[in-house]
Amino acid sequence: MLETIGLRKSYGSQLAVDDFSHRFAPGKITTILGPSGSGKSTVLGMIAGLLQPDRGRVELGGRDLTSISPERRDFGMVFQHYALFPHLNVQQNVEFGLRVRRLTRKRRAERARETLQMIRIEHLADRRIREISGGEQQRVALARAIAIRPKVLLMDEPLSALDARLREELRSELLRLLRDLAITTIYVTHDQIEAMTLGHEMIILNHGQVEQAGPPDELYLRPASLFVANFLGDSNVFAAESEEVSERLRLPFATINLQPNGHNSSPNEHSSRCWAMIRPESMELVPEGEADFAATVESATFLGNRLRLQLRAAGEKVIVDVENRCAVSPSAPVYVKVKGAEVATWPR
Amino acid sequence: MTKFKPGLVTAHLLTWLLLIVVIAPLLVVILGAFLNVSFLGLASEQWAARKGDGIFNHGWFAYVFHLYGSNILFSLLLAGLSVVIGAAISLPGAYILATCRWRGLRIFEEVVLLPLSIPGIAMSIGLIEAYITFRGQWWLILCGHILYTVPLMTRVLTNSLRSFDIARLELVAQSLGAGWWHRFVFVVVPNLRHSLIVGSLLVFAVSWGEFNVSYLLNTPLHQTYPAALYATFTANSFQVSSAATTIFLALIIPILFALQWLGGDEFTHVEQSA
Repeated sequence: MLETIGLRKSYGSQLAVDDFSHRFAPGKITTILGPSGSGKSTVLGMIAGLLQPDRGRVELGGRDLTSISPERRDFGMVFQHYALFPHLNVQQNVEFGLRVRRLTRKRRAERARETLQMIRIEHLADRRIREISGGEQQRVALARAIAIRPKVLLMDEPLSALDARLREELRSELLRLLRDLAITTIYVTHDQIEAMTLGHEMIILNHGQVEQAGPPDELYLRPASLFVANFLGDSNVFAAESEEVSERLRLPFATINLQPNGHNSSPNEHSSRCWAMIRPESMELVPEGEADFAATVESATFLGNRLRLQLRAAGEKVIVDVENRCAVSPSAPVYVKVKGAEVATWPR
Repeated sequence: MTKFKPGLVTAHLLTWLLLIVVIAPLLVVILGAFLNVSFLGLASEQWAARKGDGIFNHGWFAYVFHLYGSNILFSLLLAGLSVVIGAAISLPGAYILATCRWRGLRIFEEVVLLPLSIPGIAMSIGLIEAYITFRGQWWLILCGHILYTVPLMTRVLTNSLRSFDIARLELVAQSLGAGWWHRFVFVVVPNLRHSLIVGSLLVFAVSWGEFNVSYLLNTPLHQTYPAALYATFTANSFQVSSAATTIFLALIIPILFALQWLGGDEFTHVEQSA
């Protein structure tokens, strides 16, 4: 098992990563998500050995790798900008790591063909790098990294240089491939969809520190902090007060039944003041009699698979996602019901 | 029907005129090496041509080889050694310049390029004064050539290394298990193949044509071909000088064409920086 223990790295006076500790599940994909400058790539660099931590350790199967040079770690790495060797063709690129490992010419060719087939680009084997597209180049970069059968695969925003359609296409291919290969993979990205789709587990970083780690659905439904709630997906966050006895939550514009089911943590012992987070999809338009609150439509934006309404309720802005065929008109009154089981709260 | 454009025609005429003005002296010299006519100059060495009365004559070349064969060989040796030693120094030098990240690097780079802006005479005097004990040694001339050519090749290779972000490629190679030696041999050098050829041709051409340093440092036993060329213009007939010049050009012109053909990105940058 790969484990990082208290990794810390600073650049001059700026702290990039602080106390990064995590146990990466063997054979699983862990995605590291965070805003720009949150320290994602620095963490990856330290795990790869490309950056030396100021403090902390990287261990694999109990063996301390911290002082081991990157070339001796047996890790594969895929970078954002492919960085294929321009003087080699596709197959030679894939063979590079095998050549370094002194495999025979025959074994190298066999392994390279096998890997190219796995990624479904065997037809590109003899092409020069400049003759293939960006998407194909990224596939070759992936083939090159997995051909060496790495103990750990590290991926640094591998899809971010591609256009949206290609990114989506490659994402599903990656999902199939990485789950089939079952290599311990650490995947750094700033794309939430990518992080949630690919990862068995997600780590959210902010200012070099772990905000929350866990399965993607848990992080989305049970964010541990306001930062995670705001960062991961869209959300409405309100200052609220909880009524512990009746399990009701008083929002600025309504009082709703909380229906605790684990999504909401208990408010501070000494105070009932809390933050409440409601996802836009956790609310629905209902007839007046069934509603938790009334609001006015300020705008409606068509998002393809859904319609996003911006509402105003007692002076508060509320975002609600509804079916894309829902007919609403600006300034019209609407009645909204909150799915109480999907509300998350934290002490304020 | 194509419309007559006076401006375009004038531009064409001026271009051709300029070309003729530039090429005419070369043509006269080359023709002088082959023609056997007395108005081209005093043919006091007419006997050397061995072929008497025809208009075309190639006998001058044999005479030049007889007179200056050792100088040609010496210049070829200097140019060849400049290429080999220059590459051996420039390759690691350029690698350091392109990959290291220390503050003084820019100044260091300027120092490396400094010999290009120093007049040959000053450089020669400097070499003589610094190594007075070795004056008359052939390798002191080689040192002068290397001082001039190493900055050129270093610049060509540095530009090339920077153009394809060698640091990133090395990082990838390292992640694939390649140690420093593997990275240098299998990543850095192959990616510099084109630039090494361009740089070598450039160094060879500069060394082959170098006059200032060679002239001041040469000895009766070790004289380069350009220095001999100077001597032939002062001592020999026009036909012999022309033949000697034609031999000089016969080597330099194909190199210049090759440099153009190979793509002059690195070459252009060198010219600009020099």
